[in-house]
Amino acid sequence: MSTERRKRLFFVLAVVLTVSVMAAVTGRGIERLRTAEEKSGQYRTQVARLRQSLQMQSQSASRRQQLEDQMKIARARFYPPGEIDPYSFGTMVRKRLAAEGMRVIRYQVVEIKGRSGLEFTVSGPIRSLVLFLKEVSESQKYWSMTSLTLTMREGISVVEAVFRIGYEELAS
Amino acid sequence: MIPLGYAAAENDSVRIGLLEGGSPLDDGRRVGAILLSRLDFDVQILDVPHLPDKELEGFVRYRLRSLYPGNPKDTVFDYRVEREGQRRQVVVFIARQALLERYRGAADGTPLLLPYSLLHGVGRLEKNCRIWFCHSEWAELMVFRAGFLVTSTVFVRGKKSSLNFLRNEERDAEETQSLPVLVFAAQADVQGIKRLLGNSLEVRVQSFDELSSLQRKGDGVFQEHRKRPRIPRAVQFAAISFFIAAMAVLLLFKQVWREESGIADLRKVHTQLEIQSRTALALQKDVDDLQAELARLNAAEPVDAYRFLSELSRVLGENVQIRSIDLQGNAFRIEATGANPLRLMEGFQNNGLFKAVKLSQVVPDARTDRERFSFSGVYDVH
Repeated sequence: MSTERRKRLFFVLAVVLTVSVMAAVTGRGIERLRTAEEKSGQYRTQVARLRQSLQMQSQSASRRQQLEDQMKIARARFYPPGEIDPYSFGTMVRKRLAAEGMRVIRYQVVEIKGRSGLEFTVSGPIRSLVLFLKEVSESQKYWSMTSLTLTMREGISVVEAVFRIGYEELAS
Repeated sequence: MIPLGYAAAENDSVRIGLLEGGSPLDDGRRVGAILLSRLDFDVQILDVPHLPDKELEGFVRYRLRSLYPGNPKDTVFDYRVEREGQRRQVVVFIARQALLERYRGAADGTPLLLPYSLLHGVGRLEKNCRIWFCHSEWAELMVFRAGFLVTSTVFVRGKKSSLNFLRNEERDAEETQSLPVLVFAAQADVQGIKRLLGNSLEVRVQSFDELSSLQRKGDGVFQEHRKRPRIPRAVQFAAISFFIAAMAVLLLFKQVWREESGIADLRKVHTQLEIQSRTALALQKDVDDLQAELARLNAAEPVDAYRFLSELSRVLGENVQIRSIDLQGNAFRIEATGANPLRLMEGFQNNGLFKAVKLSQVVPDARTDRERFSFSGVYDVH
């Protein structure tokens, strides 16, 4: 084989080899670019979504503070566990009824939905009962009246009432 | 060892053979270098001032105009710079352009030599000496002092009195008589020269074979400046194409690297945002929990009997007399006496706090022109 022919063959081989390598490198480059663009797009979408979500959640801090304040007020209306028992509560109710001029006919401790409460049978002027009910309503802690039965006596403004009263306690 | 060749111009051709023996190179035998016929070359010796090397050629060219009678356009020269301490000397070899081209053509790239090329090393070593180079057609006498060439004289050898000039010359040399003499000649002439010059200690006769060890390619004269080999068009095209393709690939990869670097930045931002988002989600969970807890607490708010009665009296008005009320949780049942209970129902309908109110029984009272009635419903505590 002549030197010229050998050179030509070597040149062709070199060109083929170079073109193959370049094609492979270019293919790899395009693949990497495509992957990078896809990933970039995904990240951009996620970043935009996260930013939007963060913008919306930026008010959460103030909302939490607001709710905590509301919780504090709401909790204040409940008796902490163990602060009061049915007997002291009954004494307190009796005192209030007496102070308003109601006569307690009878009372008893009852279980109302698994909680202790008191059932009072009272009679007295309607005005006194209303004042008592107002006191219950304006009490700093919740006093729950689960039932109330009023019977008016005809002709006189005297009422006979049977009610069940209890207190609301925070779950321990 | 590759032998030395010899070339001499003859009419329109150049004869090439071996230096030793003169046999022609017709069997494809190669020679290491070719000694040129000294008869076709002139040798001039110039002492040069201190000049930058790049200006040396111009200086030599300028000096030759006054030393060499030939037309400068038809003349070519080469030179060798000799240095010893501060002293610089230029040995200039001059030839006609056309003749040199013929030698070059015949040599076909083989280095060309002149006797000085072979012997300047000997002269430098001996410092002071007379060196004869006796070819079968000519002889050159080179006189060296302090290692520098002082004179170079060429003699044409006649066929009959081939070596007489040597004897005459040595006999007549007055100024250089005391210098040792070295003679380089063909093997065939060595014995004759020895007989001619006697067995003096100051005379050494050596054959050309011994020159082989002195031969060096770098000592060649009139070396052609190698032309840069012309790059074939296909190779040029391929190289340019490769360059363009490589640039394109580079640009592609630059884009890839930029995109990948952008991904790294985005990943960093994404990670930071995710951390912030986790915090925000935890915060949101707190808010949700608080809302649920608050709703639970609000749901536990008991029925306010006072507000119920207040609202009830507002709806019933002054003309209705309540006989009994039964409130169980937020469900109520009321018995009352009054006029036009249907009208009262409208009041309940318009009040948002009372739901599902039903009038269940109405009994007119003939004595009072009023009606006894009862109704039930649900009081919406919240």
